[in-house]
Amino acid sequence: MAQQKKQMMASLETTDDGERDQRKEIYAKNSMDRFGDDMCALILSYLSLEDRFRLECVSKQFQRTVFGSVVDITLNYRLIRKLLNETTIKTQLLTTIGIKCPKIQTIDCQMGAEYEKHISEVLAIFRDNYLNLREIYCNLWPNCEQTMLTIGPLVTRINVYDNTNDTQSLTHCHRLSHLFVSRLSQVFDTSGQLMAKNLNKFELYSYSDEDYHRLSAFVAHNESLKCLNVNNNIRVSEESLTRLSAQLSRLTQLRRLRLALNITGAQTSLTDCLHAIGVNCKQLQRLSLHLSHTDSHGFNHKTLDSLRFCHRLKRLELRIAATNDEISLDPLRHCKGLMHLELDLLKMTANVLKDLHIKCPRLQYLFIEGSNHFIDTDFKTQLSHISRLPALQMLVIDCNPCTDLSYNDFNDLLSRSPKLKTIKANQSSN
Amino acid sequence: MADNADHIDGDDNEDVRAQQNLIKIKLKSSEGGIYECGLTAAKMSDLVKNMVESLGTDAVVTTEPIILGNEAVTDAALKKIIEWVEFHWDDPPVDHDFEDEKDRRNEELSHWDKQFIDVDDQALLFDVIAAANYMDIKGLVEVGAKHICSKIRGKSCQEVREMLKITNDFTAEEEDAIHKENAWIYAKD
Repeated sequence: MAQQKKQMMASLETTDDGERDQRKEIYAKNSMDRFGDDMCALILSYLSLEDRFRLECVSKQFQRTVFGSVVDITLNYRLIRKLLNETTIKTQLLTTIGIKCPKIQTIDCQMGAEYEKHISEVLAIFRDNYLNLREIYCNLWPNCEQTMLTIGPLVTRINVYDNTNDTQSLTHCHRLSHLFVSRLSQVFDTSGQLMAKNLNKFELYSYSDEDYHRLSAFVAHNESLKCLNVNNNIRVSEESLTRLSAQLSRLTQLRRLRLALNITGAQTSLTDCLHAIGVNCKQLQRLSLHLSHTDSHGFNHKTLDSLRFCHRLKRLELRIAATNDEISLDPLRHCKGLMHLELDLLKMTANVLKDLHIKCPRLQYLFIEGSNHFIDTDFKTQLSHISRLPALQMLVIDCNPCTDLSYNDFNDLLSRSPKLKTIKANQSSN
Repeated sequence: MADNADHIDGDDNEDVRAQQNLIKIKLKSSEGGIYECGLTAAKMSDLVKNMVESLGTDAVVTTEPIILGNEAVTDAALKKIIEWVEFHWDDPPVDHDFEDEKDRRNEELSHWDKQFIDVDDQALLFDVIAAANYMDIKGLVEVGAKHICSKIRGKSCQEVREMLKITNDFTAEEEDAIHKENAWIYAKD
């Protein structure tokens, strides 16, 4: 044992290679010239593509190392404008970028409609000149069929906007991983066949109960889905919510789920829905619920009970726009790993945050949207609850200006809270 | 049931990590200074972690300090590094399963990290980065790299050379040629 240790100590002391020793003689310690190419490349790998070109001629070492770590390129408006010569694409320039950055694997050209007319040409240049290209992120654009025939197998992420009626090109994208569509009908071809299977991430702008059978077919072929966003504040009746939750509970691999629901009818269906999700989606790490209710009775304190099943939850966002009862965060005591919590509750009393330090000992980030129902005296109590959170590093409060927030209150909180480093208080102007 | 057990294990692990950080080990800089550091924190360095694992925790705690012989590990750099690992040892692990590498790379440094890494003494800054690289503390190397990149963002080549004390080894003609080639990037938006 002792022998082995001695050897290791010795080897550690002599790790400096000869090259570095020479460098030490030549370069000052406060000069970046002291770093070898590997280190220099690593540091410069955090630069934007534009900065890399801008700084290529700093030194020969920069020139050697600045482009090697470029593995993706995003064609945003700024870059596209630079690549345009009046109205034509600078082909030579795009080719040069490909030569200087030979490791580009991913091209993100989910740019706006303004440049759609160039996209076929741009993608053809990429396809022919970027030899390591493996993934393309794009939107569907009008008459893209021809281009998609050839680049389809490279496309892994697609956004389909509401105005896109012709989505047949999706059939060419066998490796699709992320898909955003406005309506479920867009992922079915004219003969009713599902065009998107085995996705990782699916975002749906709107859903209605009429889509139920489509959803069922989609889920059947996407049971390994990791992330689902249902974005629009969709209006669901009790029955349709029950049917929706039956489908959600088949997605047992979900890591992230975002649901925005406007519920009509009794709230028991929501309780059941969350129960189905909690019991079946065991892998859930991020959950975002935007709930509103047409019925003024809204939700009761039992609604969130099923969160107790989400043991792996790390991030939770709760935006609840209807309730007469206080929401209870008690079930969170079963989510010991929760690190990130965002709350926007219509009724936000100090009780909600009471004992949060016991329920969520690992909470690092807390966001609170203060509502009109905020009571000033309550607020000081809330701050004192917050100050007990042992791991909290950042607090964001977005509140109504009528609330009496004083600088001293925050200073006091900073001094009492063990790990708190940042407080942001955004006072809304209205 | 399996999930439940798994979950409890996770909690235990966290507690063990906290317990172990109460154990102090000694790290020795290349200048000879000896500094104490919590065991869990010190193990954020893959170099130290491998040492501890092959020597056994008891040996590391009871015997001589771990020697960090690289010239970049000065007293000042080692003190900074210990400050960083002692703050970050209980950070949540990176979720490789479904974390977007690109998002993480683009994420701005936290307020604490920004203040930590913004040191006036550039020799110390470079020592910290080189020492973190030698000790294999990936998170800290990333903090240093992001900091340097945020300082040179949008600057001209000459400004960057002056700031980072870089020797321009291009001839005027070579520099001119690269400039011409990259003229598109300097064009006004």
